[in-house]
Amino acid sequence: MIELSKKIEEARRRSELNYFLYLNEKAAEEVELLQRAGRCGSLCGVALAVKDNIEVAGMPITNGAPYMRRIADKTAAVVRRLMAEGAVVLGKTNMHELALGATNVNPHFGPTKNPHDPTRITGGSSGGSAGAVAIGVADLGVGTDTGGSVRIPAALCGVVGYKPPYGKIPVDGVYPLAQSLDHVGFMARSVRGLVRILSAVGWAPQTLPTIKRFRFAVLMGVAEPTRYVEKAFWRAVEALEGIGGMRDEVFIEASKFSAARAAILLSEAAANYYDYLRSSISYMGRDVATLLSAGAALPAVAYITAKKVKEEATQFFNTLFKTYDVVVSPTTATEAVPIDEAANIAVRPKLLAYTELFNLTGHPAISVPAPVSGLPVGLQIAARDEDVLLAVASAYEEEAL
Amino acid sequence: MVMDYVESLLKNLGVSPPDVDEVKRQVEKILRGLLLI
Repeated sequence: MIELSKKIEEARRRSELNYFLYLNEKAAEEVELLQRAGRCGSLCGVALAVKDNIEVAGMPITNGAPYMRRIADKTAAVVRRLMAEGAVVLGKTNMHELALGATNVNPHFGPTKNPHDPTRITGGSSGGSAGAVAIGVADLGVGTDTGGSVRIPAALCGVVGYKPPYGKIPVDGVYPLAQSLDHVGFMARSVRGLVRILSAVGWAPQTLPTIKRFRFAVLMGVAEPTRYVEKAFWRAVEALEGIGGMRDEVFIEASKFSAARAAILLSEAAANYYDYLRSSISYMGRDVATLLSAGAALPAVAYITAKKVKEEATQFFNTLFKTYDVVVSPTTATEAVPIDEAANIAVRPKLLAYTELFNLTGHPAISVPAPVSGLPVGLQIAARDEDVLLAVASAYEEEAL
Repeated sequence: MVMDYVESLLKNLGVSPPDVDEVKRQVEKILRGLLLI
């Protein structure tokens, strides 16, 4: 397993990017043992960068918060399944504190730095995993996505980020943030590579359906993208048309959906972390302390109304998917911002506006790189049917990149 | 005015955020977004 040793070495060499909170120095040894025992399956030696809110037995886990640090005594179901086929955990990755944020500027462990410009954010909250995949150290990033936390850093780091439909990937052994919105998701350098790995454990089809003609809708009116993002996005749309996509534009009023996602997120997160909120608030980052406190102060009528809006949003997109095979948008309304501007209040909605829609509805969504020569930009594709989604994303990747 | 309850509620819950005014703004923004106020 020279390859794995090199990956560990490379992760150590690039430590200034701050992607790993823990490196598994025995990764190569573990795979060798599996090989010798003849128990290394179809994912033999595939290196996993596991977000630090996901348990791996014997390794430390912090949830991005040193006041929660402990050694995990079991391995999360999602990681167990991949390891059963021979994948190996290369390390645990830096993240936004408690996964409650989209910048990955962690006040305790430091920010993760964008692989394309280290003065900029990776995005988050699975930023360490996305970065590790982007620099080639990890083959698969395993993260969580409650408002876009897999797709956002994937977009800003120039890799693929996939959020399967709600409930598909087991969350056992994963710290809950907001159970109604939480998804486990994955990051890889290509759609084909992602599908190859996920199909080995039954989370993607062995063969993708052939897509020759399809109808897609561009989501309009959700946010105001920067000119740079807009330009890259429309180039990606042209590529979709180049593979047989027939385009329409659909305007949506997303502000109510966004408020509903926030109400559910903060109410559930405050309940999940209530003890820490009372005992450890002085140790928390200012953003996390503020958001959890807001969650504790929201009235029940807000949570229940938000749950109704969640149903409305799901119904709205289910109806849209009767006409369109997929809907698309930029993944984020901004390219990666400088780390020292990440706390600006305007950044958060620019990162979350497009992705959070599909946490509310639970539909599968993926971020794939748009054709750019500078800072990466993501194209988000969402669908009702995950096989169609992956097929369109894969065909797009061949055409555009 | 409508957000005045936030401060006393948090105090009763034993929660001491670093910036109560920002918490109030967040709560108000959500309630307005849901058309509850």
